[in-house]
Amino acid sequence: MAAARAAEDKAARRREAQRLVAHILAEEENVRDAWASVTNDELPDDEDREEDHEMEVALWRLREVLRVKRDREERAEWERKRSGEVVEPRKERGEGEGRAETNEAGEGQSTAKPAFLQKHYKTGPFFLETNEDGTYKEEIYNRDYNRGTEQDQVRRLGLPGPMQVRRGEFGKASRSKYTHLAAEDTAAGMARELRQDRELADVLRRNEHRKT
Amino acid sequence: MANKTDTYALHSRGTDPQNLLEPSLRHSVYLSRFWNESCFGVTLADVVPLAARLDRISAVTAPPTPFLCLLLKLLQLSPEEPEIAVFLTQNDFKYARLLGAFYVRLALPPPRVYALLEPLLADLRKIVVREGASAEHAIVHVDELIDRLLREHLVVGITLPRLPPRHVVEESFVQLPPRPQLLQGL
Repeated sequence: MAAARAAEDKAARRREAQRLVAHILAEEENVRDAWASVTNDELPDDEDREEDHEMEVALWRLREVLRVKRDREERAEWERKRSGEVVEPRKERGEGEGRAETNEAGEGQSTAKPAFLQKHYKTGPFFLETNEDGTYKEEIYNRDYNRGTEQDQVRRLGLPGPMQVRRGEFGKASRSKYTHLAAEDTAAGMARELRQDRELADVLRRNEHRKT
Repeated sequence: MANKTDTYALHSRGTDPQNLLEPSLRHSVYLSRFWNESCFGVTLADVVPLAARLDRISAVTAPPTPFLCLLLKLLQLSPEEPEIAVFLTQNDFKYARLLGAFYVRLALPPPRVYALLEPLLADLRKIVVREGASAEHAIVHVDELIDRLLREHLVVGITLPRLPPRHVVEESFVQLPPRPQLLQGL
């Protein structure tokens, strides 16, 4: 019984092996050509038929017109950009004369000219979302902080030196000797000295002229 | 040995033109059966009958398509402009023409790319194109593919070198002829 089953198994294995060999041989035959191994799938029909020619030409003409149009527009756009014509218009901001206009740095600038040594504030870059009418969403940003108060109405240049400081700085123990940046600008001083030298030279020359 | 670039091309360009195809594409081509059987030791003259047999534009790498293998072979042989122009000017084999167009786009400088490829925008024949392994074969026209070659940086999965727009090239290179007015003859 067992011997009969073993013989049957053996025959089955042999049949399986023969089938496999036949399969591999058939496959090898199939892909003998290197082309066939890579190009044997179904492709859509790409034949150019004479009867379709007119339609194809019409379609091509449409494509070509669109291409030419697109190229022309791109070139015009590029030339306009290069000549600097495209300047993004500054967003119209709300009402009121004293409205701060925000520049690129996000810094608020009052339209009124600040007084000498007037205290100033920067707007900063945050919470600057605007409504449609140009006002800030954050209500507090709609105020103009860079307008002078009552104390700024004083002509500080007429005051004694120690009192020529920004609002709130006078009389503090912690006060520094520096008041404002322009006072520390050595370049401006040099320019002034140069001008004075030149004026002095002019005067001397004139005097010499008078002598002779 | 068989994958080495033409020595003259290496010297004249200063860089290996085969590197214009991405390493993954290149190495799968080197291992492929088509490359090793049909593209071994061929010259430019031997590429012509192979190119004439092309039946699709596809850069799929499983297995690498003949188109991809022949493109790499062209880069390896690095034909000069008049030689590759033969591929572009002949009218009989549209896929051979596109093979030449891909080579021009990859290997030649921008003014030559515009000068050689723009006349091909008049070619309205149908071709089979496969964008990638996940896409199906689709019918497009030669002029559409040429237009994409002139504007895009990734066509059928092949990364192309940067090509400045025509108006920029015109400013830098005086030799560039104007774009052919293809609509006028019709």
